[in-house]
Amino acid sequence: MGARRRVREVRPTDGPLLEVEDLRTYFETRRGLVKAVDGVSFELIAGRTLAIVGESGSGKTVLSRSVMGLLPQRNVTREGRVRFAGLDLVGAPEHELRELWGDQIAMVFQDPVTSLNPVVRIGRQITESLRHHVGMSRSEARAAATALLRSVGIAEPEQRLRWYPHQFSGGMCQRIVIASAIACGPQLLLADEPTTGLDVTVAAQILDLLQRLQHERQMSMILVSHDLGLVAGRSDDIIVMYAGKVVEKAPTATLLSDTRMPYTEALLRSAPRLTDGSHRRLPTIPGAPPDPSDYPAGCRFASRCAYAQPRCAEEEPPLRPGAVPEHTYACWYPVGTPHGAEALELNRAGGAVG
Amino acid sequence: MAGSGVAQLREPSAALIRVEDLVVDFPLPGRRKVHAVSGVSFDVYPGETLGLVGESGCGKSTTGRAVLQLPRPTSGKVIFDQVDLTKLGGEELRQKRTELQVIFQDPISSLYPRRTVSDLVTEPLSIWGIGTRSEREDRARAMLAEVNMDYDAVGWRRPYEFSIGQCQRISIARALMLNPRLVVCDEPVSALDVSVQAQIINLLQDMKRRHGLTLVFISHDLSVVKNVSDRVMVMFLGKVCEVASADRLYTEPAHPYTRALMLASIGASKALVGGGGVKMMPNPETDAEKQTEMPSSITPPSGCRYRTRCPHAEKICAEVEPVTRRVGDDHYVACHFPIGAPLSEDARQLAADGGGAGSAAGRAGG
Repeated sequence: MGARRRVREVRPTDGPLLEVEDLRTYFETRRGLVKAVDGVSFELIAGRTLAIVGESGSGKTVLSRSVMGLLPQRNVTREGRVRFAGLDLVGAPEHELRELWGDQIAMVFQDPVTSLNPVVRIGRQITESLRHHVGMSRSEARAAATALLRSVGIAEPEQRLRWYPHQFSGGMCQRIVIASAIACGPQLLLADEPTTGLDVTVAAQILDLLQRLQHERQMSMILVSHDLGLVAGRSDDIIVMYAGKVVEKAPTATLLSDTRMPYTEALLRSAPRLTDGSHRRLPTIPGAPPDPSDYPAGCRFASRCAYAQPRCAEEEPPLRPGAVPEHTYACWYPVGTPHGAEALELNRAGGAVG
Repeated sequence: MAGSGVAQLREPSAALIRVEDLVVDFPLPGRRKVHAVSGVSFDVYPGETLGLVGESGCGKSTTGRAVLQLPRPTSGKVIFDQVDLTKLGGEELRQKRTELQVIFQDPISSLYPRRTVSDLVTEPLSIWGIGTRSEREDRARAMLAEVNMDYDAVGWRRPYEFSIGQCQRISIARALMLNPRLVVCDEPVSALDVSVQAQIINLLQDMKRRHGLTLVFISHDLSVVKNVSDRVMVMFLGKVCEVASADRLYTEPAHPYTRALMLASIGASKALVGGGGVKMMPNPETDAEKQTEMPSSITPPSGCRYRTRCPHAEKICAEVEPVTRRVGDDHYVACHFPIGAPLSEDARQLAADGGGAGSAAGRAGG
């Protein structure tokens, strides 16, 4: 793709590709102000994969949409700073964002079947961004689309370009969505639950594909998922979200070996594993996440936490550094510290934990 | 692999449910048909949990539903408590159905949205005219308490007021109102978050113990199936691949498809697994599944239905359909070239004749 004419050239910067600072996204609803994202900060270095993990309702999907600027116009408050390759995305006019979407930042949504237009041949859907952003001619775009389909592992790409989405399976549709997302060679790919709803074998293929493409094209990637196990082998860094906040953030290996936040620990434990014998009783997290329009004071996880002490319900723990500087967590009684062990012991003795 | 056969069946008189050579076809225009389930046999002992695993389209849900005669299978026997359900007439079957219940994947759409929880949970009793209104309510109160819900607080509410996990609890309570003996759980936790999933799995295990239930548990998630099951049956495109006790299947998968499934889910959580217990080191040369689409269930491949994706497939796999055979203690596989087990009779014959199976024989031995 040597002869590409870019509408806008984004210069590479020395700093992180994406900087998010104290991002807040609130929705005005009849139930009150829903604080879906409540002060989230993170950085993404070019070429790395960041996973955002949390339960439904933790704000991970809103976060990824808020970063992109894909939010409804009405009844939404979006504050904070999002800098992408030196550009400020919060407050940028939509026509500028439009130049970035699909070109520099692309997104893969959860449901591949509904993210494709059912009455448009896939060839046109894949080439749309190439024609718009790169200004390719019809035949150039066709050649590029053929190459893209081949690179995402679809056989006989020339014929398949003429097919409609319903002629493909869910896994194939997701490959097509990925092909159209990477068409312009974006610097950042946001994948929101890209494999939820797909079979295990297909999900593994899709994640392998994303990893390969990321490597080949040196993209940065944000992988949003509710499944910590799924992203564990496929990310450089992980952010764990709970009730609109980041509760722990670390390089993947550190997060798994040096878990500090009790919520992360609980998430890791509650998933059944292949290595455990059958009929093992699964540890669960009691209760339910708090109402996003009425968060409790103090730590938002406190009422469900095995380590919780009176202080947790009063004072909100700030994000503080762990053993390595890239590791931060928000907890007064962290897992794996004498403080935390003491708190857990105290709760066990008091019969608060089974 | 992916074959028929009855080697995995055990003592008929001891089984609560015994399915023999189950076939379910769905007609299509032009005399074509979808071969959803083609010759599946299994049995479940009382108090046992059988896990059915496979990808979407492998026929696991159709199998589960055919057991309940929803719809009636095209052919084959479904013997429940020594009675063949496929031979029962409408009313007899209706009587029998109280002993068979089902829990579906999407709890919200399986609960009628305009009814209250009280109506939903007491309905099975009302239909059969069991007890007075207040007795039915007492039973609903007790059953909801068992699934950790308070009848007085939730009885007058409607399904949309609850989270998906709570709806699944209500579905479980409703399914157990008539004291069933067999419960078919069709992907009951697939729509749930991990933390809620753990709660529901534990709840199902508790209920099974407390009410002496026998479960058929359908899921595409291998780790969930391993957790709940005593025995597991792996299916591919309407056929049985492998049947074994849960722990054995996961430590010594013999069928290439089972292995591929396990590698896919281990690959997903490589960092969490650490290797202990599961003897699986991915080998890029022999484990690369052919990256083809799921073959069509309208025109399934000849011989073994998995062969188009199988890394070990030989000529014989296209010609002779493998049948299930015993390869270990309570371990049955339908494959000509199973991993870590001897070749099938047909493959051995071919190898002896100097056929194409020679190289595979060496590989399976190594």
